[in-house]
Amino acid sequence: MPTLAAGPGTVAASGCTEFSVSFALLTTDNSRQISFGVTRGCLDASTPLYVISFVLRDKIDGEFQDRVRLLITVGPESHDKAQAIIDRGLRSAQKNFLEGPVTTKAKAAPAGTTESTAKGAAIAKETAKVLDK
Amino acid sequence: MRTIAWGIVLTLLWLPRNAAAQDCPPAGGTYEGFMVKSVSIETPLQFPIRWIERSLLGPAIDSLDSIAQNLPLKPGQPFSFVNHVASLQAITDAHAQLRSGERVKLAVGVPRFSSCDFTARSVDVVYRVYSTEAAYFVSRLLDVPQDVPARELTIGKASEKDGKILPVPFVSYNHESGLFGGASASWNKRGGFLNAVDVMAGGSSSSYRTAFSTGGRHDPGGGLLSHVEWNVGARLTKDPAAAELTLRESIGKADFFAATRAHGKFATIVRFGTAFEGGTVGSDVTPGLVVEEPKRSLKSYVGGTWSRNRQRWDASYGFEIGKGTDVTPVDFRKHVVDLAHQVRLLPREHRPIQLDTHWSAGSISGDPAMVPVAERFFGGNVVGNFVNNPLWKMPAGPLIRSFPQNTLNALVGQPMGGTSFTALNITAALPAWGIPAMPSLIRNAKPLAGAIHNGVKGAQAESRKDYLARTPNFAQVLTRVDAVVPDFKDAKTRLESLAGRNLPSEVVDELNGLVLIIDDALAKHEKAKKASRSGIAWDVCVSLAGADPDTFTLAHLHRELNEVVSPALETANLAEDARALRESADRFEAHRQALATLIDPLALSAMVDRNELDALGPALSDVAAHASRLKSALDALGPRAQPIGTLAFTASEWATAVITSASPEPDVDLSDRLYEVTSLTLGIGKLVPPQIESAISAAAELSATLKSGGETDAARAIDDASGALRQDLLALAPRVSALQIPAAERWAREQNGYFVRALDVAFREMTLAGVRYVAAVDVARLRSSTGESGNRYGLGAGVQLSIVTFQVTMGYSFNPDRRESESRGAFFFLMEVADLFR
Repeated sequence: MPTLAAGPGTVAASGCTEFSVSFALLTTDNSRQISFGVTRGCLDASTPLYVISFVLRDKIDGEFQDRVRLLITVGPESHDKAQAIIDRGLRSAQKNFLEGPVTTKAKAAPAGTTESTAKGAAIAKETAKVLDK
Repeated sequence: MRTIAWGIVLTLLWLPRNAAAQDCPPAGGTYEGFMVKSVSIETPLQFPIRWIERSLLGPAIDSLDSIAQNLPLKPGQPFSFVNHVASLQAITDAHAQLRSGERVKLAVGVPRFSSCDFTARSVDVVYRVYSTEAAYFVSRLLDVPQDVPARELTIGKASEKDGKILPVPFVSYNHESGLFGGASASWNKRGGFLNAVDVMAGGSSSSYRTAFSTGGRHDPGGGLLSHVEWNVGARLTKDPAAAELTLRESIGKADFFAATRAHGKFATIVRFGTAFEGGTVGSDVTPGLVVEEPKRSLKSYVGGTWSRNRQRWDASYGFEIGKGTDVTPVDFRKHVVDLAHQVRLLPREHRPIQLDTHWSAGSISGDPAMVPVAERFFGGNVVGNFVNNPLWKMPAGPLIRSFPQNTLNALVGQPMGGTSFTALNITAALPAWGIPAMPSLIRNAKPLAGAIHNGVKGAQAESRKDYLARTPNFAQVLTRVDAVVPDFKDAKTRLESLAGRNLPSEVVDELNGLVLIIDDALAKHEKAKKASRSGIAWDVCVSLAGADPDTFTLAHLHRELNEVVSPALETANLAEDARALRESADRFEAHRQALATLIDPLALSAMVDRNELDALGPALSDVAAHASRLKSALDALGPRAQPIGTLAFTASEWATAVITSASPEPDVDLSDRLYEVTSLTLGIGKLVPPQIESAISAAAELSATLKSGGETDAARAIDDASGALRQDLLALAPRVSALQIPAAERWAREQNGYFVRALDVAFREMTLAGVRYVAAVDVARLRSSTGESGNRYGLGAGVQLSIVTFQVTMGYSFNPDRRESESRGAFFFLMEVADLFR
C-alpha cells in the first residue's frame, strides 16, 4: 500500500498506529512469573515494525530461573515468514532452533561483532534459518 | 453531576494538547532526522488539584521523570525511529516491573507528536502511559498487608526494600472514637526463622491501640502449603462501646497460620491456624466501676476460599476456649461462622458491577457470670477481627453500618453486648465513571491479540513439558541421557587439544564452537538432574534427541564432526584425529537415535491426533481463500486519510493473520497446529475473539464508514468477503471444539487458567481510576440470656473511589427503625485493596 507524503498543508494517510503494551504476572502459587510485551512503531502509515518480548521464569530449588526469554524484532525488510511470527507466534521448532547450537556459538562472538564483520555475517546467515523452521 | 464535572475537567485538560497534535502525522518514521525539541511522559492520572495529586500519586508521577531522562530518544538530538521505538518499549517495560505485593502489572504506552514543524524539521514527543503503577504507591497508605507475595518472589524492583523499615502513617474517623491517628512500621527480611517485625501505635481522645509482633513468614516454592507464618507479640487496646462503656485488652499472643496452594477448577485454598492468648480483658460498665478479668484462651480457625469466573466464595469457622484463674474464674466457649460471596458482572468492558453478600453468626456458651463483658459480641460499622491477622478477616461481631462502632450492644437497656448474633450485609457497587486500563485504540489492535496468544501459547507449551517430565517413563529417558556424558567429555578433550594445534583459523573457530556446544550440553545436563520432574529436564532431553542438525545438539555434533571438522583434519594430515572424531560422531548419532526411540512416543502422547487436524484442511483452505478475497477488497481502497485509512489498515492486518493461520504447513508441530486452529476459530473466551471474528468485525466497521461516505460498491465487496468468512466460522468452530484434546494439553490449559483469568481482568475489567455508586443493606440481631435486640437494619448509600485495585468506600447508612437510645445512622468508611486477581 503506497503512502501519501505528509507535510505542511497535506493530509497524511492514516493507518498504522503506534503503541506499546507490557504485562507481568506472578502466579498464585508463587512459582511462576510470566511477562510479555508488544511494541508497534510505524515507519509510515502502512509500514509497521514490531518488537515482541516474552519471558517465562519458574522457581526451581528456591530460585527463579529463566525457561524462556525471547526478544523478537520484525521489521519492514522481513518477508512473509517473519510476518507470520507476528500473526501466529513463535512455533516450537523456531523456539528450539533459537535455543540450540547457533545461539550457543553466537554467545561466544567477540564484542563489536556486527553484520558487517565476517563472524557477524556468518551468525546472521545461520540465525536467519529460524524463518524456515 | 460528578461524571459531568469530571468530563468537563478532563476535556479542558486534554483538548488543547490533542488539538495541537491533530496536524502531526502519527507515524514516528515520518520524523527521522528531525530535531527533537522535547521528550516527556504523561499519565492520565495527573490530577488538576495539586495537593491531591502529590499525596496520592506523587511518587508514581515522579517516577516518570527519571524514566524520561534515561530514554534513548533525547531532546536536542536528531529524531531516530529506532530510538523512538526503543523508548516506547522502555517506558512500558519500566512500568511493568512487579513490586512487592503485586501479582499483576499492566502498562500501555501511546506516543503522540504534540507539535511538529516540517519547515524547521523539529518535533515535540510525548509518551502517554497508562499503568497500574499508581496502585502500588497509593496502597502504601494502607496499613493492611494483602495477600502479599514475599519480596523475593517478585520481579525487578521487588527486593529494593528488603531488610528496610517501612513506616506508614494512618488516620481515620469514627463517631465513637473520634479522630484516630497513628503510625505503623514493618520490617521484613528474606529467609530465616524470624524475618518479620510489625509495630503499631495510634490513639484518639477516647481510645488507643498499640501492637507489637515478630515472627517468620515463608512462601514455600513447592509442596502443599503456599504460605506459612508464626508470630509472637502483644497488643494493648481501648475502644469505646457507648458513652458509659469502654472495652480494654492487654493481651500477649503466639499464633500460627498457614494456607494451601490454590487447587482445581475453583482455585480452592484451605487455610487454618491457631493462637494462644493470655492477659487481661476489662470493661468500664459504668463510671467508677471497673471490671478486669484474666484471660487465657486457645483459638482455632479453619476456612476455605473458592473462585471462578469473577465469583468468589469464602467460608470460615472459628472456635475459642477461654479460661481465667482460680481467683477470678472465667469459662466460656465461643463459635464464629462467616460466609461470603462476591460476584463481579461485566455487562460492558471496564464497567464492572460488584455485589458482595456476607452472612456471619456467633455464639458464646458458658455461665454468663464467667463470660467477661469484653469477650461478648458488640456490633456496629466497624467490627474486630477474630483471627487478628490481616490476611484473613473473620468478623468478631455483627457488622451493621447504621450503628457507630460497638453501639449495637443494648439488650433491654443494658449495654453489655450479646452472647449470640447473626448479621447479613449486602453491598452493591455500580460504575459511574472510570478510565479503562486498556484504551479502546489498543484493546482491539491485532498485535495485542497476537501478543496475548504468544504469551498463553508459550506458557501452555512449558506446562505441557512439565506434564511430560512427570510421566513414569520419563525417568528412563533421563537415565539414558547420563550415558552420553562420557562421550561428551572425551570429544571435548580431543577438540580442545586440536584447537591448540597450528590449524587454519576457521577450523580453530569451528573446534572452539563445538567445545562451547558440548560445555552448554553438560551444563544443561546438570540442570536437568536438579529439576528432573520439570519441563527444564524435558527440554534438555529433547535437545539431544532431535534430528535437525541446525537445532539439536547431538545431531549438530554428528554433522559438524563428519562434514566439517574431520575433512579439515584430513586435509591437515591429521587422519588419526579425524578417524577418532568420526567415531565420536557415530556414537553421538547412536545416542541420539536411542533417545529418540524413548522420547518420541512420549512427545506424541501430548499431541492431538494428526488425522483429526488433517480433516480440517479443506475447510481451512476455504477460510484462507475468503480471507484473501477480503484482503484484495481492502487493498483496492488504496491509501486513505482518517478514519478509513486506520480502519482499512486494521482490517487488512486481521485478514492477513487469518490467511496465515488457515494455511499451516504439513510438517508443523501438532501442538502448534492445534493452537493456531483454536486461535482462528475459538479464540480465548471474550479476552481474545477468534481471528476470523476479529477480521469480520474490523471489516464491518470499515464497511459502515464507507457506506456513510457513499462508497457503497467498495463496502459491498468487503461485506461479501466477510460474509463468506462468517459462514466459515459457523461451520468450523464446532468441529474444532469437538477435537479430542490429550491429557497433557488439558493439564497445560488448566495450569495456565490463572494466567488467562488475570489477563481477562487486566484487559477487560480493570480501570486505572474510577468512581462507583454504592448501596448497602444490613440486617443484624444480637441476643443474650437476658433479652435480644430484635432485627436492626441499615440502609446506606455512598460512593467508592478507586485507583486500580485500591478502593476507598464512604457513605452514610440510615437506621430506618430507630429506637430511643439509637442514633439516626452512621457514616461508614473503608479503605481496602480489592483482590481482583484471584
